[in-house]
Amino acid sequence: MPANRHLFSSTPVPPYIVTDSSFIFHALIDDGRGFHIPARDFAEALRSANSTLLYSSLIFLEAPQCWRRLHNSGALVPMQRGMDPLTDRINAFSEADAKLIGFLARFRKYEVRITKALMRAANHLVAHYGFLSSHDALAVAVSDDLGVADIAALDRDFKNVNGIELWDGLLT
Amino acid sequence: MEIEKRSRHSQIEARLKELASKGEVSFQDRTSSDRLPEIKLKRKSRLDRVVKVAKR
Repeated sequence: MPANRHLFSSTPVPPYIVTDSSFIFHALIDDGRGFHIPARDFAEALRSANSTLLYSSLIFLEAPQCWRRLHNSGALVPMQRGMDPLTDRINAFSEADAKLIGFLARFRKYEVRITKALMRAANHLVAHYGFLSSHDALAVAVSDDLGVADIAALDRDFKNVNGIELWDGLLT
Repeated sequence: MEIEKRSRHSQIEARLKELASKGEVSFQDRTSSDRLPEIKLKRKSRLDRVVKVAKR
């Protein structure tokens, strides 16, 4: 049975939700793919309902990778322009980091440390499904471990994961 | 239904507390009650362009 998918406008919003980095990064920055406004509005609905976000500590490792992709595509431009491309890039990354911290500050949240047990569970999920990336599998492993079925993600791989309540706005 | 929901929430909180005691999760309450900032789009939407052309 595939994931049970939800529109971002569906109510009520879940009180606990595992947030994949794809959702958080799209809610933060507009990369021109049309996901930013819906993701941001759903994040605002979660904030307004004081929902609890659950995310893996890996988000802080995935962030610079995302900033690099956005910077290279021209979607991440620093407010403070430097004299050279290197300064621009460093400014852009540090402004994006500040945005991420400011975003998370608005939520009740738990940061989940990646334990060996979670890595084993993620490893099993990658093997089981065949289409999940390790990072996506980790979000599903966190969801299983905590008993929180709701996952916010803008990554199409989640659509065919059994037993989850997927908040993807039906966009992927 | 409401009782069932509350019981599920207490199970989640209990699991989170258990993991927090082992240092496997860390809790942070919100430190800002501000709304998420509205981001001004850099690009004009197709609708904006259509309206502009129609006004000419």
